[in-house]
Amino acid sequence: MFTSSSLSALLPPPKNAPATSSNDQLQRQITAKNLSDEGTKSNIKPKDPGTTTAEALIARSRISFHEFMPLRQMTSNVSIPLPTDKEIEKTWLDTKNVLDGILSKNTQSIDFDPLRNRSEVKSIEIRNSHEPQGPKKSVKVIKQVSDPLQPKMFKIKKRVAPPVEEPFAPILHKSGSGGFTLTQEEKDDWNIPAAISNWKNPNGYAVDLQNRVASSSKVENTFSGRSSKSLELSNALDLAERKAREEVHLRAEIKKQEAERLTREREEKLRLMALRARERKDHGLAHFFSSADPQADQARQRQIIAEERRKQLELEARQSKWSTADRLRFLAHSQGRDVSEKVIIGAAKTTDSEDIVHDSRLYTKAARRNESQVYDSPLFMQESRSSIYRPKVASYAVERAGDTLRNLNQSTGSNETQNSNHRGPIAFTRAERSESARTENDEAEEREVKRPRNG
Amino acid sequence: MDALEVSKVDLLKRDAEDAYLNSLWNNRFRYLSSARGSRLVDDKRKTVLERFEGYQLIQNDLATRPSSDSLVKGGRKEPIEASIIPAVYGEDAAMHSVLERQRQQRNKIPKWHAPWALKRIVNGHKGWVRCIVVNRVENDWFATGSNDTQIKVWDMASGRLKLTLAGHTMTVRGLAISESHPYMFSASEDKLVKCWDLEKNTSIRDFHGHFSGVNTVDVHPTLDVIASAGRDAVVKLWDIRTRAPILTLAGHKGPINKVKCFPVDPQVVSSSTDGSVRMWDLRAGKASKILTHHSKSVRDIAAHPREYSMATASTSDVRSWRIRDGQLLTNFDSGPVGIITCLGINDDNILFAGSESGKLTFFDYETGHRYQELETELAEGSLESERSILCGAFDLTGLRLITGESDKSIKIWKQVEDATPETHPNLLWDPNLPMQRF
Repeated sequence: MFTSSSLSALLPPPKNAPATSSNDQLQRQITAKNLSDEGTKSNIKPKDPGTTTAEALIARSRISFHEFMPLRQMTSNVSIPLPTDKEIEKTWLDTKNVLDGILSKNTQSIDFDPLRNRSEVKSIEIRNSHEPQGPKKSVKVIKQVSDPLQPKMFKIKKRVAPPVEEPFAPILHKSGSGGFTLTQEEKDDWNIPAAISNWKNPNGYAVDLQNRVASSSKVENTFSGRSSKSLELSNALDLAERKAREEVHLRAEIKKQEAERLTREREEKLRLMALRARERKDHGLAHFFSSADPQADQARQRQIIAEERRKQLELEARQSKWSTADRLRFLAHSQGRDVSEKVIIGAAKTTDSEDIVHDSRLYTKAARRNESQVYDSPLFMQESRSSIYRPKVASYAVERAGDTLRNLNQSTGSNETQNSNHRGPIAFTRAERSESARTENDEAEEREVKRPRNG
Repeated sequence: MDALEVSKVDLLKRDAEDAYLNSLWNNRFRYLSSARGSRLVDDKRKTVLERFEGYQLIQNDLATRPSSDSLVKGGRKEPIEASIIPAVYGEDAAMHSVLERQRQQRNKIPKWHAPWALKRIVNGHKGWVRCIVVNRVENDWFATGSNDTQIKVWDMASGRLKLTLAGHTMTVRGLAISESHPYMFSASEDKLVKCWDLEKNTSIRDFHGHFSGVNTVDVHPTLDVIASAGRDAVVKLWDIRTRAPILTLAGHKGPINKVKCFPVDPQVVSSSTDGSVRMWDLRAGKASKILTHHSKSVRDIAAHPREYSMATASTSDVRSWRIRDGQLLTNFDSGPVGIITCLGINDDNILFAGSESGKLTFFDYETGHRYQELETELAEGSLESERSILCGAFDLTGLRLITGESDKSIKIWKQVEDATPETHPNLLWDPNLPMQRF
């Protein structure tokens, strides 16, 4: 409450504190007494008129109801006139004196006069003390010139601020700011935890795992709205895709089954048809051949053969009208040989010079074009290489033709076409000898092959 | 005669015995009169009338008993007399007296005042307008200080810019015009108080010495002294002529928001963010009175032009005081106002409070009646967040109100001219209990 009654008042004064005047101490004692003894309040008259109001206020300051009761709400018509001129004048004079005193004290220390710093020259007359009647000496006294900007040579002592004497000031407002208290929940809501970096930790804070997880989950939770939605979306898309796939799969399965069923039915139908046809045929043949009359059977057989013969003859008659090229083509066709058009026409002619003797090995080794070729003789030497992978042109038809020929031969009783099922090139038809013999007669064979061209 | 004497002596003896016993009894069981539990049991059943009768009986008993007066005087009579209201009306007697006072308040009828309306918006500053001062000599111009470090002088009638004074390097926070010199003083956050010569329109003096930004400055009405205060929580008094600091008034615990000088003691009054208002005794160099009624930062002090009283404002709390002794005069009905940044008092007993949320509130100074609430209008091109009033002052006639706002504009308000109580009724007069708060 008062500086005199506080703990600091019991301590010795600070080292560099300004020495309190005895007058001041007396004042303080008086005020203390003043407060302790209310009765003697009016008897004391402090010496300093400046402190009158302050001390009087201190003495008066006991809390009363009127301190915080609004005056205008207790009594109506409170008039507070402005201070009179006389009052103002008096206050002005008093204050001016005090302030002037302070100001003059302050300003004296400050050297405002620039002339004062100038070097003054003073002359003094001195006489020797030993001979009082001797001649006078005049001495000039010159003030040493000092640098005005030189820093001060003495140390400035820091002074502790003097204790502030304050009037008794009871707190006249409600503390606790209107009964507004925060609950723990609200406090927690506003709590901002200290930031600890995940990367740097120079102070070595330890964040236990639980808190770390909590904080990280907190961070995740802040984005949870977005991520859960996207998760849902992707899940839904996945689901839809899977469903679509399943449906497509199912449909394909059903289609496949349907197709299978259809094919099975068709096969069945075909099988049945074939069966029926066979039955009918068998029945017919049986009927045809199983007639009671054997002569009629023979007659019928003869009739069939005659018919076939007639067809053959017709063909031959037609073939007789063919050109050589056509006949050759037909022959090649019937034998399954692919004879080029040029050969047929006769455009591809070999030189007819018989003088030239070829080394037969040239032919066998001609195929070896480079060193990487392992085998002496190419595997498909007899066929043109280009036509290895070419499908056989209507081999089926050729076979048929061959069959008919055989049939004809059979029917005619000739055994000539016994080997006709040999489907090799013409050049080898006769070459059923040993390898050596064949190499020797290669030329002859060639000539033989080429002979029909001439014809 | 003997028998009479004997009976008298007996009587005296009996009286003395009675008195002795009574005093013993009192000493033994006096606490029961103040203890609640013992009386509550049967007191609850009694009506007020019964209790009053009981009270009267006790009083009569005391009055008729002479011996009790002679022996147990001080200890007995006073507390019982003082406790008449709780004795008769029960424990909530204090409440009753407040209600009684409220009833009296209700019976008062505050004076009707014409409402205020916006008259003019003056633009020119490039920052918040932090302080306004009206020329005290003639009502022809006013000056504003701003965040853009400039002081601008405006013509009162036309609202035209007259002059721009540049010299500060930070926000100008306070302005004061001297009545006896052709000087204007400005306080700034750059720790300086500058003195401007209004005849040469230049800065002529700097007052160095504050440790931090200066928030406010005021000229003493009679002495050649200015008082300035700021963030370093001291009020400094400067001699205008020599620029020398005269006094440093320390005591506030927080930055000082406002300093006001008066011709008679207390000559300097300062209000601070620590919620206190200090009245300083210049001759002693210390506070003569500390007003601790406000619980939050006291942002402004305004003096009444015709009465030796002032008003101070903290958040949602405006009070008026007798300056001479710091007696509380009125609690204003300022509950819902919010953070009050500036105050102004009119000749017509109108108190204006500008709040940080951009609300102007007008009070009747006598009764504390809040009679008008007004929102500022946003200047063109300003944001919604820039709606706040930073300073305000009435002109000398009290017919115009000038406010400086954070939308960088100065607004001039006037009362509606042909308003009558019928056409423009004031807000309802409802003195409530919070107005009686302490």
